[in-house]
Amino acid sequence: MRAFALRLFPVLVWFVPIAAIAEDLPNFVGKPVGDLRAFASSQNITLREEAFLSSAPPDYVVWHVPGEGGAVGFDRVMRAGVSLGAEAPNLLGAPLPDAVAQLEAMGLPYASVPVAEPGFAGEVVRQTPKPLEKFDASRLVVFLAVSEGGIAMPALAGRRLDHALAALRQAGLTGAVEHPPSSHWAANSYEVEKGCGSDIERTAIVSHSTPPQGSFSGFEQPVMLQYDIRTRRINPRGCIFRGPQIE
Amino acid sequence: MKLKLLWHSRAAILALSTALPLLAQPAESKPKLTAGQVSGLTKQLGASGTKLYLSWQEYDLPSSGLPLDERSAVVEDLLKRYEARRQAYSAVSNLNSYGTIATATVAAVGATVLTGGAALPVAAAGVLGATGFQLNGRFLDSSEGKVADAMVYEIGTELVLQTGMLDLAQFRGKPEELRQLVEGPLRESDAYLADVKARAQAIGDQRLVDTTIDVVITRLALMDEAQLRAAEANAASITDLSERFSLVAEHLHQRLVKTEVTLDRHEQNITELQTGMVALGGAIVAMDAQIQTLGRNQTLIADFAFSRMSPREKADALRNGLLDGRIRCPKDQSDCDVSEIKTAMITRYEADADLQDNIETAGNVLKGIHDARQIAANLGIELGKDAELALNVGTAALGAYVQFQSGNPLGAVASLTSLFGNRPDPDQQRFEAMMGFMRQQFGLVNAKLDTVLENQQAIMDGIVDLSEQIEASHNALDEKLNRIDWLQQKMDANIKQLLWRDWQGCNAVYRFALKPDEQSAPLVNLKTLRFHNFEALRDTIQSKGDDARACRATISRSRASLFDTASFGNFLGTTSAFSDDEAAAHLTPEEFRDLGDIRSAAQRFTQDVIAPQNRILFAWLARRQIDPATALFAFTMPLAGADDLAIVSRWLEDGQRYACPVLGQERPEDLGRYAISGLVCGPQVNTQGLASEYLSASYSTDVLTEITRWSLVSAQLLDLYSGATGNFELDLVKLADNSGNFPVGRSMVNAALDLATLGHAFQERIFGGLMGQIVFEDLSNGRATPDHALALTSNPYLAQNVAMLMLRAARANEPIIDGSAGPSFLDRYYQAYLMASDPEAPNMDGLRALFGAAMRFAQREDGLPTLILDIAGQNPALPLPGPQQLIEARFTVPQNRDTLLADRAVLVDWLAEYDLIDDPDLALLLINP
Repeated sequence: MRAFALRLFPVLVWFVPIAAIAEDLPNFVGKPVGDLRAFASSQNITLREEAFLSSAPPDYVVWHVPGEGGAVGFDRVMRAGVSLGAEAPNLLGAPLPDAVAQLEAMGLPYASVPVAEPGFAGEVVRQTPKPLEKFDASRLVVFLAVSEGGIAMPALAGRRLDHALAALRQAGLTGAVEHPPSSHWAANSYEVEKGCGSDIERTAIVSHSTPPQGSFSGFEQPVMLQYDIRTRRINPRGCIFRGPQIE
Repeated sequence: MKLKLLWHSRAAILALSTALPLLAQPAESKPKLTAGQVSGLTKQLGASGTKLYLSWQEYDLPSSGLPLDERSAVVEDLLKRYEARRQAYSAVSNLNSYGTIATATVAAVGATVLTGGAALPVAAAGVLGATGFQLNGRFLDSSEGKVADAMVYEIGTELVLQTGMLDLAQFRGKPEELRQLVEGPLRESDAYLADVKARAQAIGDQRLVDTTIDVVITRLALMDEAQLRAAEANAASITDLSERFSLVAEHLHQRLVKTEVTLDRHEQNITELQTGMVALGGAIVAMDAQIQTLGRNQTLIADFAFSRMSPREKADALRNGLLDGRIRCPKDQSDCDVSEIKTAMITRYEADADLQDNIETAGNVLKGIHDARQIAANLGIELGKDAELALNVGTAALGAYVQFQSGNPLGAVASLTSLFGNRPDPDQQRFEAMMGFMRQQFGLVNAKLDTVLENQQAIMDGIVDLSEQIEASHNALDEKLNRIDWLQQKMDANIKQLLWRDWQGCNAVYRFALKPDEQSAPLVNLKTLRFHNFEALRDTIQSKGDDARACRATISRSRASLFDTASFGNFLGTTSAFSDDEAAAHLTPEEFRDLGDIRSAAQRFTQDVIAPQNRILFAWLARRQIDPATALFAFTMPLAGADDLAIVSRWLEDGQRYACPVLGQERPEDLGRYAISGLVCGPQVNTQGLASEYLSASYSTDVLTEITRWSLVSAQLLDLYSGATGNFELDLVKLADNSGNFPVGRSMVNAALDLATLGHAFQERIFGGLMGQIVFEDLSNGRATPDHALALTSNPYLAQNVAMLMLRAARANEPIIDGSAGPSFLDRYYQAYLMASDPEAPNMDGLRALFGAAMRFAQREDGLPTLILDIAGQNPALPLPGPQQLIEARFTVPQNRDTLLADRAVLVDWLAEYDLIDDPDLALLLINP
């Protein structure tokens, strides 16, 4: 009997504080994990954390086992799920309906705004938070900037007019025109006139565009290319013809 | 047997009946004032002034003729009229059916300049307290009163014989000598008060004996012949007289002990308040130091600090992470630590909240109107619902809140309502005088009261200092928004004197009162600006009487032309006040340079802000067919936010217009109209013309604040000034006889009040919500002009208020705080605001998503997000409101607006002192309760 008591004593001594914890285990769900860590440390409990993505704020407890009022086992171990926050999916380039569907499926709040920026109409061209960035979905929303459709005007100055027009139309800017209007130069911006002594080369070169380089142009928006005709002598050779000189 | 013989001694009765009334007669040298004279003085000097000056020497004052059971009602009526008057000057009375204008922000920043208000309600509450005490003296009911009288008679009769005082007339006018003569035998002889002494021994409190002796001696000195004869008859019929008297004495003693305990608790509370204030002061300093490290990133802190959340809510919000991730240190600021800033802010707001709790506790103990209400108002603390009810002067709720049964005579501001039905019986009335006397006599209670009052004064001083600290802190945050040069200019004293040289008389009186000479202490209370006593006032008159006369002339002249640049009103027009040569002659080269800066800043302010806004305003008035007086009236209302604005807008849309009150036909609902009646009403006054002038003029709040202070000091001198004779009357009795001839002080206070009203209307006109609404309406309806662009570019307060109205309008179809899942609108706006103010990659997507893609936003060079407008080829950038401000729909105004409003409230109080006490009996009740 005495031996049994002696064996039981350390068990009892060890058990008493556990029983006290088991009855008083508070609820840490929705609280900073720091609170749970401090509690665990003060109660000599081993805390095993599992971090995962969630719409809860980063570093907040999402669940713990045992739960509120539960008992810590003999191993004195608690497990807790800790939020890493949400992770913004990469929505760049996605059509808005697809992006919205994805966000809703993930339970993430969002708001969108059309922007006059290059891209296909309805395509997400910018997002905040950035792709794969962790964030607190309880306080932040995913703002989506959605293109109204259009391109950024490329550098056209110095290019041949017909090439520039072709490039713009190929990009979808069907309203691109030359200025002053000249179907001749728009169709073929290069010609050579044979002459005595040398040939004369004429090239229609874009001087600037409206909208200018770098700015946004919607697909329906008119684009105007201004051009100069540049001339120069080529192929010099001897010539006996004395006619009017071309400068 | 011996006693029995003595009771029936005719000699003793005769001696007592002839001598005792004589003891109570006043000294022959006392000047005597009638009720009418006291009433006249009250109208002349105000209730507080009259009371203060009459205490200068002893006057023989009659008692109020008001029956006891009517006193409370009369005083309550006074307090109601007082409250109505205060309301009138916040100009909300006329709008009552439209809602109540919130004036919380007025107190939110310490109203630091003057704390002299509320003297009238405090005096009146004191009367209520006394009345309540008297009425509550019912514990000495009829039979107990008879017992006490009989006992006093018995003891007195014996003492007369035992001490050989055959002729008590020799003690006429010397009650203290009578006390000395009889106190010894009463205290030392076993023959007297044996039962009381035994009880004192039993309970271990000898003060029971002191109390009883006081009762006997006091009553002895007050009983007249009829009372003596009644007491003689009673003494013969009461059995166990000694024992029954002991019970009465013990009852009374217990009351006093409870009073002491109550005062102890209050004193303890006051000590805690003081500790709390020190803690808060330290926390404010620490927080300010931390916030400084944020540099230009302080915007969100300012938004948070100015929000309407209570200190506790602020602390909780911070702890729950409201600003986490939202406060950002500048990259180059090595000593900036966001977590330390957060900790400092939590500490500061918790100290504030703790102090609020302590104030509430103090209020619960003493229920003192003076301390709790004043402290709360100065700190911008909202008292709890119960406390606020209780402190609502003159309401029946006070009675429920304050219980005489707690043994607290100070707190007996009375369960008045419940007492009205109980008429006091004659016995009680006979005891009233004694009770009143005793109240003043009990040394212990008095000593405690002194300590409490002394500490309360210290608290008041501390509150003022603390308020100044809070105001300085808020001003520092406000500077982040304030980009108006004129408002930032600090004038040197010499420049001020030059600018206001017409006001030198007022200034001289003020300076003398504050510092008569290098060695002397101020003659006025620096917080209230009231003269300490009549001697101080008299000395000032003797030294500065001529200056006071000059001051009076200045304010009379100026008041007639408040909009006249040359004479008074337009303090911004410094150029017209004096020539460069004059300035150069009076100023140092540095000051002269400063003056140049001030002048050019004022000129810019006039050209870029006042002139275009005036054009916008008058065009709006014409379009809406609103007359200038109505507009001026509307601008006198302090609008805290969009809710207040909605009330005023509705009032205007309903076709309401200002009309001068008709003399003799005042209706309570018209009280609000008095707010500007002194400015625009009067016989043969062109009301609309004057209002139009006032709406065009411009004023400096700082200047008006100073002039208010000067005026209050000079007004006290001029209370004694007769315009008819041109002399000051220093004899109060003569003054009382001619009180109708001396209305100068009152008119000066009235003029100062008009000035303050004008100043405030100016502030609302230039910076406030109604002007914001006017500009917003124009913008919304395609009526924007270059004036709008100029005003919005030059006036950031107006610009931010307009931006707030535009953002709220953009969200009009959706609730500003959406209840849908996910982050609240506050969180969304925080996020969008931070994205837009990102120093490296400002991103306006969030703002446009929240408020519409058609809106243009951009970051200002100092990092503040702005709303860009397109007006006549110009693009004013309107600073966006902070998140808390947008949610609360709170307008932004310069901080000194609140100081001016607080000063104005003080002036209203001063004026009420002159005006509201129209009944001689009421005057006597207040002066000689």
